[in-house]
Amino acid sequence: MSVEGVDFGSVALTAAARDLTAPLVLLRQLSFQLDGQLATNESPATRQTLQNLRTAVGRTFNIADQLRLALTDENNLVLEPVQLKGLCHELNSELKPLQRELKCNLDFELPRRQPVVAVGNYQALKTILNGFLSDAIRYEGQCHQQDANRRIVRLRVANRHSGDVAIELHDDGPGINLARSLEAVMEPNNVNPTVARPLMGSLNLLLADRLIRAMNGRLTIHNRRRGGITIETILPTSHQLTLLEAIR
Amino acid sequence: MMSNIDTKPIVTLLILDDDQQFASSLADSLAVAINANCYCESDPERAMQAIDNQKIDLLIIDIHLGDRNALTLLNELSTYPDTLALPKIILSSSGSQLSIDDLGSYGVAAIYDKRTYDLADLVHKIQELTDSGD
Repeated sequence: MSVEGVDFGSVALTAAARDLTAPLVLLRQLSFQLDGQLATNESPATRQTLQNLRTAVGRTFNIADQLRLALTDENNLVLEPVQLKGLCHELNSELKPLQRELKCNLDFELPRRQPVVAVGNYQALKTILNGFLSDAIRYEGQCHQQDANRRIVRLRVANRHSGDVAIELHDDGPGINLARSLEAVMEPNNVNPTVARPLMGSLNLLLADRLIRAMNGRLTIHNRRRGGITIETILPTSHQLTLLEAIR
Repeated sequence: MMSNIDTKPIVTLLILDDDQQFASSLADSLAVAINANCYCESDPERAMQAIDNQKIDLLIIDIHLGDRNALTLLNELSTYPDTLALPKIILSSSGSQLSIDDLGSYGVAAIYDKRTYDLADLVHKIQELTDSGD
């Protein structure tokens, strides 16, 4: 079969990412079914295993979403006002099982009684932040193996005077060496033992940088002096709500 | 932990989903959790027949049904007062992209994303909509 003018690799990958949905959804539902079929005196560990299975499915969904976004032409990304409070609430609830599994808390800091609305693509931003937060939760656990109380990943959202929105993520995990991490991505079989923190699930950071730029924003990442990293995402502020307030 | 409590009234549900394995697994889960009696259908015409022939208390509908979608069925159901009043829950992989504001006029009471929904939440919503809870 031959279809002229079609980038077969991209089409095949997009189709594969889409086709993953049905079996993953089924796996998730089968875990619920098994949960219900277990005898009531089944050990909590068994139920936790089923919950972990659902968490793993959720992570696979996120990878499939990232793959689909990576294949999206960034010029076709629909930009819209994104309410960051609602987005943070949704991320927190989606990542609860991973937080429980790895005994790490997410701490969201948002301005009180003040809407924070950025211009971006909701789905892309959610997938990017979900990837960042999932990675941060995993590395935070590695860093504070003995002390679960110290495992806190912080996400701070703020309106800035310069007319944009800042989303800052802080964790205490190992620092990141971008050059070495990139090498590890390009040559996955040549495992470099000096790479303490691979490039955010290989795809996420590269993809995030490309998509954030397509949203007219920018992404910066730096190692903190006392350990951990900060990822700062800057996006333009949406003035939609300000205008609505003025009309009222 | 949800358990099957025989004293609860039986709720009759219709699950419209083209993935019969998913529908069957969901039916099993709901039977265990709330003693629900579930009919599973994969195409809108057969779903309509089931609604006419069985006493259905609530519909659980997937939007994408292979090469078709459930919007035509929702539109059809909204034209009769009895079927408009029938509580409907959307359970779809595109759930997060759908809005209750858009689908509420079809009698849709809740929307869940198949990729992230929690069975306990779904069960609670079914009980709330059918008055079958405690």
